[in-house]
Amino acid sequence: MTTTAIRRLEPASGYALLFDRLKGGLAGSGAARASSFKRFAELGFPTTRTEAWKYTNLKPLAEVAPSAPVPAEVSLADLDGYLLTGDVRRLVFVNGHLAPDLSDIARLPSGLRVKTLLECVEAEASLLADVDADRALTALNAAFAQGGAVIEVEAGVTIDPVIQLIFVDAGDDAAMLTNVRNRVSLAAGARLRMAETHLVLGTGSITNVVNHFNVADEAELLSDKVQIGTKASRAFGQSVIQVGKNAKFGQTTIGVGGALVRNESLAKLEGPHGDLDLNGTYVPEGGEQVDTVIRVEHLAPNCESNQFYKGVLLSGGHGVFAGKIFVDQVAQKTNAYQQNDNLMLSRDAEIDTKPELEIYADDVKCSHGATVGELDETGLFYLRSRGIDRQTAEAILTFAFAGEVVERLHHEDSQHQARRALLGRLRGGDKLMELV
Amino acid sequence: MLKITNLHARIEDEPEGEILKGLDLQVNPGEVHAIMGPNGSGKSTLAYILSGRDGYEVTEGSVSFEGDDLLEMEPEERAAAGVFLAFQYPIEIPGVANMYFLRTALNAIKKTRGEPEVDAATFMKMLRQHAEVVGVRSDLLKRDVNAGFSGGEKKRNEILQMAILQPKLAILDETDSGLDIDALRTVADGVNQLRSPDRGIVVITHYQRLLDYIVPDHVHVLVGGKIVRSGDKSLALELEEKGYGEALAAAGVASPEPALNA
Repeated sequence: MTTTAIRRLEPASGYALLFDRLKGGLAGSGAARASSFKRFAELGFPTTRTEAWKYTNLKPLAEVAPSAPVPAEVSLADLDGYLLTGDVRRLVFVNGHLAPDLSDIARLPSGLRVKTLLECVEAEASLLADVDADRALTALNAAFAQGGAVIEVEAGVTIDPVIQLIFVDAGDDAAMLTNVRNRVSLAAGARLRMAETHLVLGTGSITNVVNHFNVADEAELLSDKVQIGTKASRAFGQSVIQVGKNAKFGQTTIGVGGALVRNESLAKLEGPHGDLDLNGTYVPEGGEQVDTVIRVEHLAPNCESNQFYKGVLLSGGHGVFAGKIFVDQVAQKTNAYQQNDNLMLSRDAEIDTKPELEIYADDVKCSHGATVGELDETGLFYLRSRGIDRQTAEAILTFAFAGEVVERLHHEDSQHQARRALLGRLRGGDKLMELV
Repeated sequence: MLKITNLHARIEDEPEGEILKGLDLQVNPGEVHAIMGPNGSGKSTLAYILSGRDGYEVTEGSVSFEGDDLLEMEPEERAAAGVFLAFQYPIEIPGVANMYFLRTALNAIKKTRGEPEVDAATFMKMLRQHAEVVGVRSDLLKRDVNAGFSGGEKKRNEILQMAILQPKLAILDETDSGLDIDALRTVADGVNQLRSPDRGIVVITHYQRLLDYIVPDHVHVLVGGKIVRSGDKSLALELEEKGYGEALAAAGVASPEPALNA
C-alpha cells in the first residue's frame, strides 16, 4: 500500500457516470474537460490524513452519486431580501446556469465588461485552467463548470454600480452538483465593488465554486459574500486572489446554514505595498460544519494583510479555521495579522482553530491570535439587571460579537442581509430584528 | 419596601470566607440610606446580592422587597419589580447602541409588568430630556453602550438608565468613584431629581464627599459584614473626621487601612 492510497478517497462511480452523460454538452474544449476530469479522478478526494482536511470528512461526498443540475423555476420574488438596491447590475445563475430573466446587466458603464463563462470559454480556454493543480475539487470544477461570470474592468476606470452575482440552487435533490467558475480581473488603477450571494432555496445541493480574482497594480476590488444554506446543503469554494503593486483586495464573508461549508482562499501579494483584507463570520449549529482555510502569501515587500474571523458555535455546530501566513524572503517590511475569535455557546459545539506562520524574511511584523470563549457573565448580568431576559441578553451579546465582522461588509444591504440571517439563527433573535 | 434580615452570604467558590455576617437593614419609600464602610467590608457584595448577580450564596437570613422574597427572583425579574443597581464598573457592550439598549430594557420591563411598550419617537423625546438633566451628550446615546466612554460618562450613563427605568429602589454602588467634582455634582443632581416619596435610594460609598450632594436620611456603617452603627447624616461627617478605625475596633476587626484623612 502506498501513502497515496491512504491519502485519497476514491470518488464513487457516479462521478464518472455523470461526466460521461454531460460531457457532450459542456462548452469549450472537450479534450480539456476530459483532462480535468481525469485529473480529478486521479487525485481523488482528500482524506483527513491530509493536513488541510484534518477536521473535514469528505467520505460522504466521495460516496455520493451526484446528479446533474436541472432547470428550476426561480422568480425575483424568491430572491426577496437578497437583491442589493441602488446602483446595481446583477447576474443570476440558477443551478449553475444563467437565468437571463433575473439578470440585469444592461447599461453597463464604459470600461466594464460583464460576460458569462459560457460566452467566453470557447475563445478563452484558460478560463478553466487549473488555478490550483493539486486540488481535486478545483479539477472537478474545471471538468463541469458551465456557469459563472467573467468580469473585466479597464485600466484606470472606477466603476460606480455594484456588481452582484447571485447563485441559486433550487430543487429537492441534495445530490445535485453545481459547478461555478468566476473570474474577475481589474486592470491597473481600476476600482470595483461586488457582491457574491449564494442561496440554497430547495432541500440542498452540492455547490462547487472556483473564483479567480486578479487585481492589477493600483487597482482596488471589494467584495461581499453572503452564503445561505440549508441543513442538507454542501458548499465548497476556492478563491485564488492575486494582488499587484499598491493594489487592494478586501472580502468579507458571512455564512449561515449548510451541512458542510468550506471556503478556501489562496491570496498572493505579488507587488510591493499590496493590501489584503479577509474577514468572515460563521455560525454553525446542530450537525453543520463550516471551514475557513486561508493561505496568504507575501511575495513582495511592504505589503499588509489582515485576516479577521469570528465564529459563533451553537449547539452541535463545528467550525474549522486554518489560516496560514507565508512570508517570502524578499517580502521585507511585511505587516501580516490574523485574528480568529470564537464564541462557544454550547458544550457540544466544536472549534478547531489553527494559525500558522511561515516566515523567511527578517524584517517583518506578523501576529496571530486565536481565542475560544463563552459569553461574558458580567455583561449578561448587566443586561439582565436592566430587565432584559437571559435569552435576549445572550442574543444581544452574541449579535454584538459577530457585528464587528458584519460592519466590514461594504454594502449596507449586505449588512442587513447578514444581520437578519444572524438574528434568525439566535434564540431570542427574532425579538431583536430592529437591529437589522 | 426593602427589608434585609440577618443576611449571611459568601462567594460560591469560597466556602470559608463569609462576607456578610448578619446584616439587617430596612428601607422605606422616600428614604435615602447611605451605606459607608472601608474596603472589603461587604458593600459591593450587598449590592450584587440585592440585584441578583450569580456567584454569591446566601447561607442565612432573608431579603424581602414589597413583601416578595427578592432572593428567589432572577435579575430581570428584580428589575421589573423595580430594583435598579448603578454599577461601580459599568460594562462596555460594543456593537449595541446605547439608545437601543435603553429602549430594549425599558420595553422588557414594561412588557413584564403588562404595560404598553414605548414607541421609538416617544422614547427618543424622553431620552433626550433625561440625558440633558444628567449631562449625557447626545452623541453618547448613539454610541455603543459605554464603549470608549470616560469614567464620568459611564457613571452618568448609569444615572440616565436609572432615570429612564424609574425604579422603586435604586442602589448606587460607589457611584462617586473616579469622578471629578463637576461630574460628581451632575451625577448627584441626577439622583436628587429622582428622589421621591415613592422611591427608596441606597447610596453605597467609601467617602463622605458624595453625601454633601446627596444628603441621606440615614447613614449606616458596614464593617466586617455587619452594620455596626446607624445614625443620621452627621454620622457621615464624624466618619470623615475620625475614619473607620473606631468602628472597626468596635467590630473587633483590625484596621486594614489608615484613617480616611490621615
